[in-house]
Amino acid sequence: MIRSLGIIGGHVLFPSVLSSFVSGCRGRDMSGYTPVFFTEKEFAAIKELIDIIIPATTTASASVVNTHIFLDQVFKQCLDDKMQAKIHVGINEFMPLLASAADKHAFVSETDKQSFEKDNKSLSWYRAVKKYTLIGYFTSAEGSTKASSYVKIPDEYKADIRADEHTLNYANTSLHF
Amino acid sequence: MPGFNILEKAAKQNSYDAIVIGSGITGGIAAKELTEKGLKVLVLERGRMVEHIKDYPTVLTDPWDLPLRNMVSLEEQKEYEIQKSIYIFGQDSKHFLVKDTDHPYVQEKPFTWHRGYQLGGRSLLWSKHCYRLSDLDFEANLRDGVAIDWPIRYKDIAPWYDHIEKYVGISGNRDGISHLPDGEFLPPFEMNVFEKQIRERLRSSFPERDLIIGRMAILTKDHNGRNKCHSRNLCYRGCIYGAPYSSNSAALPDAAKTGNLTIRPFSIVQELMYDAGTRKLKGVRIIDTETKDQIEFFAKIIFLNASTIGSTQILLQSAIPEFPDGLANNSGVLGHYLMDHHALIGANGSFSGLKDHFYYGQRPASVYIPRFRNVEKNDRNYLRGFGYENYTGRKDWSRGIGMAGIGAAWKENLTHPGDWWAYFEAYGETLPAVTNTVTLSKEKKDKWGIPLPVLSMEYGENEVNMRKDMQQSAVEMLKAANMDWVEPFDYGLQPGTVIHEMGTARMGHDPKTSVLNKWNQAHDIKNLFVTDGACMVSSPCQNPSLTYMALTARACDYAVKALKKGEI
Repeated sequence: MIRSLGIIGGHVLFPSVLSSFVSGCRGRDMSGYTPVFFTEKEFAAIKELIDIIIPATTTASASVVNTHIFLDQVFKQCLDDKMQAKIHVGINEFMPLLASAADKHAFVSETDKQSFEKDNKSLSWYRAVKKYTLIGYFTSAEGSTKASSYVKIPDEYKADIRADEHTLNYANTSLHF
Repeated sequence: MPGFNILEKAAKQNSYDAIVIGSGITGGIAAKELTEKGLKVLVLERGRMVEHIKDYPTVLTDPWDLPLRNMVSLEEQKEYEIQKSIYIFGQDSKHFLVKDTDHPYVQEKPFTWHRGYQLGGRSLLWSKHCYRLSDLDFEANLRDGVAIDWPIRYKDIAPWYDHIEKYVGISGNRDGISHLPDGEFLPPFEMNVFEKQIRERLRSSFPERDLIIGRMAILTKDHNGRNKCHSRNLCYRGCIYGAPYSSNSAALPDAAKTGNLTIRPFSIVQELMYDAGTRKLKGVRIIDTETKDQIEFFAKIIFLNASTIGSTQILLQSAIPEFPDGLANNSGVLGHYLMDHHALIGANGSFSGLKDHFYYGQRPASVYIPRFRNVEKNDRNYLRGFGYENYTGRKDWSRGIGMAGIGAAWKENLTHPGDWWAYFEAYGETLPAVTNTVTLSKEKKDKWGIPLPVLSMEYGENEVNMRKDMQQSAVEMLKAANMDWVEPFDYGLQPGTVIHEMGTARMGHDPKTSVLNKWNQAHDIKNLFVTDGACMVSSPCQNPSLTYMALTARACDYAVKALKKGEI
């Protein structure tokens, strides 16, 4: 019952939840992580690729918040065999090209553009990497609280507030993709 | 949960004034109404206990702490083959949905049956839209020569809408729309500036079409011991404030306060026990889902609130020589006229203006366009009509998934609100058809020995014709609202997907053509009441739960008075 909980300033306080909210804006130390979907070589390439897609700016890059580990887990657990195979094939064809590219950003940018061309099925693996990179990054603690505005308990809804070019969007909390 | 009497398996007490079967949106109301009128009530729930707040495990979980960021592995999805298609399915909600592997059913024709077997049932998950029916709806079958006439009119149920709205707490605006009657509303949620702009543009292009704020069973101010909404829009995880109405947050705790309530979870009904001498029910035999023990409970009246399909299943499986085709089925219509709304069709739009406007918090209410077709006259190539649930907002980072771009500037852009988006989804009425049915399998049984329900439903020409208009009207409204981009969608027509299943034990005046009378009382068995969606005679396009709750409270009032007069 609500009456049995501590309420301060309209917020119900749950100590354990608050501590996890305050901590962990950066990814935990996962340096010893062993990939379960990617090979070590693929994993290194993915880490490089996602940091080109989402580089460090005023906020961390994708790999700093362990987005590559998220991709490794999601691809292993949530994608069917057919899509998994496409990703392995795609990343292995992509790796030498990326390694030899003089301008890696320009190369990935061109790949990205091609992947959105109509009927381009050969780059469906890249679209999947990009999709889950965005999900992994923006739903991380860093992505939610620094690259977005995460309001755990808004208290009240305001139908119209002013916005400008500095206004951050709200973190996605429903997480149904 | 303070005041709850949870029946222990060893308890010897087995006689009550009333037994309520099911604890969802109508079972909760039945328990509250009957206990507050002084009856000793046993609530039988086939699932586990879920106590308000205590049993909401993900209520305050941060996005980054949900496994796989709320996605469910393909391996685990195998247990949720049907449930995984519900829009809220994820790590944060799957514990409130059944595992299909444990609770199979037969789809003679495709029917998506979403279920939550726990105390509170689907009242923990419902959309909470609450709209009254009107005589446009109650007179429709008679006017159109479809099926049978409703045995009630708006005046019969209006006081009970008042009663339920005052208790539940419905936020909404008094819009003055005759075929969508106003009610006893709490203050409405406010529209955002984009919605207000759409409303004004629709008014100038389509004067008969109103964009109104949704009428929601979500509190906009503290009410009846529950707290107002704190704008998280995560109601389906359970709410620590009790702002969204559920049996768990309101009706069952209030019933418990009377001291008259006993709840027995893990109890699947095997049979309603009929006494041929008195021609009434004497009680209910259940199977304890954990021990598989069979236990009998006795009562003067039985309220069947196990959900549309669940209640009909129980009546069918309780067949005896006096009722060979299902209990209380002298009419032969039990199990027929299964309905669900049809939806998942409409249009999306986006708008690049109003960039200096935003909102704060996540409003858990959509806006709504009430029915505007076939209201004053029938002038379409189909009968009845449809309404729209409309969702809007400013695009978040996920817009990046579907667009080209990488790098620092692109990332920076995604951190700010994008264009405004609008999603208009129509919900249409489905005509009752005798061929849409719930029956029982003769061969297949569940692990407790209960015959599996067999579901068979398909939409007809009327629905197909209506859908063309549902989509076209959405497109024309968004275009009239000066969207920069409009695109229609149609995600398909599969019964069950709207989760508004209704019918199969309909009300009516004539015992030869209906199962229940105008009080939701079985024509054939005076102490049996069915007050969930099974009782519906037609399927008006408004979200139905408010009507189910009002009919339940009305039936409880009648039943207790009749009991006191010795008529039952």
